Amino acid sequence: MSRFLRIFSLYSQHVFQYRARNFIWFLISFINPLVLLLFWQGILSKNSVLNGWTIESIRTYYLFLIAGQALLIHHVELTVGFLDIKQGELVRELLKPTSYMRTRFIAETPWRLLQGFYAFVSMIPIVYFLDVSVHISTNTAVILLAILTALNAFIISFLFKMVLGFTAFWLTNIDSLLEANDVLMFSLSGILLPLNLLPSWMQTLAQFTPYPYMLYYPISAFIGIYNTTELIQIIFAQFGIMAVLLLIYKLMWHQGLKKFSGVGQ
Amino acid sequence: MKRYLKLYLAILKISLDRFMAYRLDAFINAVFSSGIWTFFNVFSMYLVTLRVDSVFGWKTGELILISCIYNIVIGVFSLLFGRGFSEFSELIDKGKFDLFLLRPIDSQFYVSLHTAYINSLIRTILGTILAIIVINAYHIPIAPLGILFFILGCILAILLLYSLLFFINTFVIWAPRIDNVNELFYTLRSLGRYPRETFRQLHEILFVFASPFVIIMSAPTKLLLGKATTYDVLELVVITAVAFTCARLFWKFALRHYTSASS
Repeated sequence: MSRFLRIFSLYSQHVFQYRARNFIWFLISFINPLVLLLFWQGILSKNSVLNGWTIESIRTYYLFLIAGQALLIHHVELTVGFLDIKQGELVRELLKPTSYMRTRFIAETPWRLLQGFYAFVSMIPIVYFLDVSVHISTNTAVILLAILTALNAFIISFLFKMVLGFTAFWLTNIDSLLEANDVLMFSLSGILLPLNLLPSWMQTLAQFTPYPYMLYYPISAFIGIYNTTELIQIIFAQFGIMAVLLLIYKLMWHQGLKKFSGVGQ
Repeated sequence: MKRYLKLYLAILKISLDRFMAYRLDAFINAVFSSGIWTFFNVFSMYLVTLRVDSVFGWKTGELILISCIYNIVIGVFSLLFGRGFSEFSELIDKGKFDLFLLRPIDSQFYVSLHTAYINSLIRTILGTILAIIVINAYHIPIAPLGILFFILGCILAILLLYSLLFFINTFVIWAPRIDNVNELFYTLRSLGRYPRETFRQLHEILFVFASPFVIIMSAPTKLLLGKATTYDVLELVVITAVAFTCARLFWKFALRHYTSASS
């Protein structure tokens, strides 16, 4: 355990080394939900309720989206795809006496924590200046299940991004794949719109992807859109996605290592 | 002026040759990468406005048209400046910028335009096609004179966008590691896809900060639709002139603080 804490501490130092750079990355993910929050205020000022969303609930949704994106969405695919596989840094990782997945998970967590800290700090002026009243479910069981949904989302996001990064074993350039993923993420995870405001065909499509389970469901769970029965169903679906992703991860890792070749001394 | 024009034509030719060297790969990447974002920008605005008729006084079709125009402007902008600025922090960080300063031409000109990103033309072409589709689908009336004013507005918008990007990039001279500053700029420029009224809810200081990014797209759109007032035109001209002058002066100031990382 202390070994992992030591690794965590080392990677935390690395994260804090480039605070300004990290803050800019946070700002990038912060601006989009903020703009959509403002835009929706304009839409809902005329129509008081839209598909069950009121101006207050939609404000809370986009506010939580800022925190959710910062805390839950990993960006490990860039390290795995570009640094480790394409540039050959994986050789160094393979020689370490810990599993690759565990190292990457521990290395990525300080980034999420710092980004999450920035998100919570930036939410204060938004709540103050835009007079946003935060609507969270008052049901304890719902909150506990929402926390579990968020933890599952954290793991799903990590596994999914690792799998995306592993495609670099076979593809020479994964830029286009990552861009396609970004577009799908924006459209189907709830970044652009809450899922039930999308056309029905997109809602159906989203159910068959891991995207809404990474952001939309955890955020909606905290707002109290789902009851405990629905949340338990969502959590089981998340377990299913995790199992599938873990299987794909293992397959790709074993097959990918056979393709990988590194040069060095 | 003639010398600079000749030089830029040579840069365009070299960039085109580079694009054509691996033409199939470059074309597929250009179509896929630019195409996916062009469609997403337009489609996302369609989705956001799907359940309403108008927002902040803009009709749904007009809002989608702004997204199309965004792609047209960004396509031309990226063609001219996209790649040059994406390499800027590396030039400073690795000490390659010295070579730019030693050339007998204006450093701002060369650092901004030393390479063209041909792939971006796809974005402009797709944006134009989508704009025509949207204009027809939503029956948006367009006057021929509006198209002429729109082109002039787009030129000013690109110049304003360039001035803002150049100003932000100049900070790299002091902090070369903030290479993600361009990503931040690209996020900020996407504010232009939304009507200006969206940002009136912000604190005054933030509204003033967001305004240049917002008028970049809304002013040409208003010119195209024949809705622009004298104030809109004057505002675009004045803000562009001020931004360009500030960017130029800031660059001159920053160069005095540049310390070479090479030699």
